[in-house]
Amino acid sequence: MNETSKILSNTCNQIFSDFVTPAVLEDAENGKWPQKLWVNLKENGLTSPFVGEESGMPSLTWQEVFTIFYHAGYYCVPIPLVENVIASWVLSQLDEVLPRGLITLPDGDEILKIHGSENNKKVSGSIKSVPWGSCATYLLAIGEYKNIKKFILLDISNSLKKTDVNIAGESRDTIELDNIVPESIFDIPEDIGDQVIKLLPDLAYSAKISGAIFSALDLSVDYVGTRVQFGRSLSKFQAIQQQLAILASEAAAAQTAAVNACKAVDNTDNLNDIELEIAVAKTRSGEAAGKAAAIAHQVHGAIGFTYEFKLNHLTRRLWSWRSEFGSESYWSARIGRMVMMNDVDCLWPNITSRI
Amino acid sequence: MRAFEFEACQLPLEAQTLRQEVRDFLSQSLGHYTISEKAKSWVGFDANFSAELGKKGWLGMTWPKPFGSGRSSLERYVVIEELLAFGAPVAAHWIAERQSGPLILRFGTEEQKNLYLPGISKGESFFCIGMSEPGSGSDLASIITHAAKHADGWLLNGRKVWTTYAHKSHFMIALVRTSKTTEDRHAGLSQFIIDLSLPGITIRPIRNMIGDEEFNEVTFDNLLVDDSMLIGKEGNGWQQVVAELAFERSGPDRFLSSYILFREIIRILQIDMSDSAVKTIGRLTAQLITLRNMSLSVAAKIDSGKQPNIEASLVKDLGVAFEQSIPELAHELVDCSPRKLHGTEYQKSLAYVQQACVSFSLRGGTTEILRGMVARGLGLR
Repeated sequence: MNETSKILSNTCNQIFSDFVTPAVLEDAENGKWPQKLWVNLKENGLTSPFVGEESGMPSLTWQEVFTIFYHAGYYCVPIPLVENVIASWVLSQLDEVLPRGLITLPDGDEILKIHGSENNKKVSGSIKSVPWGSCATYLLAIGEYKNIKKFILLDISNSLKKTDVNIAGESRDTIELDNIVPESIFDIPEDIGDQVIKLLPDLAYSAKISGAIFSALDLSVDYVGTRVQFGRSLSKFQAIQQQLAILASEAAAAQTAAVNACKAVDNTDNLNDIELEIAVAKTRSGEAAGKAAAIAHQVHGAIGFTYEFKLNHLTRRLWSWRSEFGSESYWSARIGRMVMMNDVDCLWPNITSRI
Repeated sequence: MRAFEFEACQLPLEAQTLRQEVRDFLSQSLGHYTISEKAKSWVGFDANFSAELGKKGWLGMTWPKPFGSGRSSLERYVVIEELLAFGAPVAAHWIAERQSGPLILRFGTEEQKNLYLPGISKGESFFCIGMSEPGSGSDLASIITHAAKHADGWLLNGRKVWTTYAHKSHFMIALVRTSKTTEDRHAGLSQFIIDLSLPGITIRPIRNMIGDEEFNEVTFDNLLVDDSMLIGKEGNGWQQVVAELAFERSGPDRFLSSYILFREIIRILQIDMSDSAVKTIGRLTAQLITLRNMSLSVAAKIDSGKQPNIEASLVKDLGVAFEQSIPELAHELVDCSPRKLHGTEYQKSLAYVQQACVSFSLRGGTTEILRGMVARGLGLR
């Protein structure tokens, strides 16, 4: 971990442990926006860490920003932090001045139709699975005008919303767009590509998953150290020790996969390489999420099944995040096709050619 | 502070040139090698091939001059992962280069270094490991083979088992008891280099379940060993063994043992691609790439002088689970039975790996022992 990551890690730990309390998590699940948390993150530059002017810091690498995503997962941060970070990054790449309000991104491949004349473009339609769509001011999405894809920034504050939630109770809303005039429409630069608003959230969700797994590991280690059965603490049972060692290995795998995908985004402009690394990250961290959640619950016993004990906030997120922004089914098929459509003797050279 | 940390590792650019050199060398020198021979991975033994690697300067390459060429562990990593991914027969020099040499380099006397290291880096001098005994497997500290002080050195008596390629090796590094058991079970152990050509040593092959004779029982009957053969300090054997085992728990040999079979399964599946097969191959490729990144991360830590023991245990645990899942993959996706004698190269490879893979989670520390070490790192014991 470099110095910047250490500073980020300290800042995140401070803010999240202060402002993501059990009460805040419960309120968020009941639809209450954690304003204090949001304001604090914004003041500390964590909502748009790539944009130097706002934070007063030099622009960060994705490997450094990984630290923010990781902690967002570790603490179950109940706001669309990664969505806002990524949307800000895209807008900064387009040299667009960041709007003040919260920006979110849709989870999915929906392309919005842009209609109307050249000087009076409008967007109508419905877009599903928008994290915190009902709280966000803006939505960054893909639109299509005369068969050409564009990035569009929409003010959705006055749009009709249908609230839905994932199994962690995180807002996943449907937004009805009725002749909305976009704030901005951008040509998609070739070196960024329209895939970016699917790929980068995938990367961020892998990082969040790895953070949540480490959190579940820490919680489990704590719990088995204090809970006594048969006259000794659970941590002294080999069966428990072996299970937690497996949980640790899954945490390590998820983190490695996510960090290396961040490295790929930092180091290469080759979109195919980036896509493969992110696919690997999401597939491997998703697999780890399932195994880790199962072990964490098994060692916690009945207390982990209660709403009051905080483990469920982590595990319900793990189960949600593994399928959001590209499921394991989707990504493993992508990787499988990349491998199987090629000469199999190129598999090893391909694995080792990426730096 | 976390018990373990995996950071992204950047391979140096010169490693890619080296990688290509190794690939060119392998396709030239092992062009005739069949798939089922390659599937034996690092159990394949070929003394001539090891000597050729020695000539190339690819053995002991991280050792300081004059013993090696002082290159980085990441460069060595590239060489060994290329050898393993090709399925090259590396067993002859494997233990010597991976464990014995580094041990001698770290704990040996100048005389020992001068005597043994050149032979190892030339690929001419082969070593085996004398740790397990009939009564001591995972519980290594319970060994009873002992060395007693003698006017001319030490007198060794006892028995080692599961000694891979003892019958083809020149030397063994044996862990023996040099003083009575005390309350501290780890005290009183020492390591000796044993010249296997001496009288007083009986090497008897133990046939494994595959039908091969690779490991052995080695008996010492009043074997006289010179004082100069003691490595490191008398009584410091346990600490040395722990360091020796940590040298290589996280290398590519811990997740590439079934790579050839994995590749051949894909070759067959390409003929008639089903959606479920594509997804399964995708999932396993994600595991493989992640394992390699984890393993590289450990190599980078070792390169910077750290001792990432917990990380190494985690890599081996996940790595051997991957290796062992490959025959399972064959059963799930390929409609074809293994054959030992006259089948296709694929059938013979599957027959080998199916049987050999049970040993992957035993050799070099069982999965249970490794998980115990991780649990200790987590503060559970």
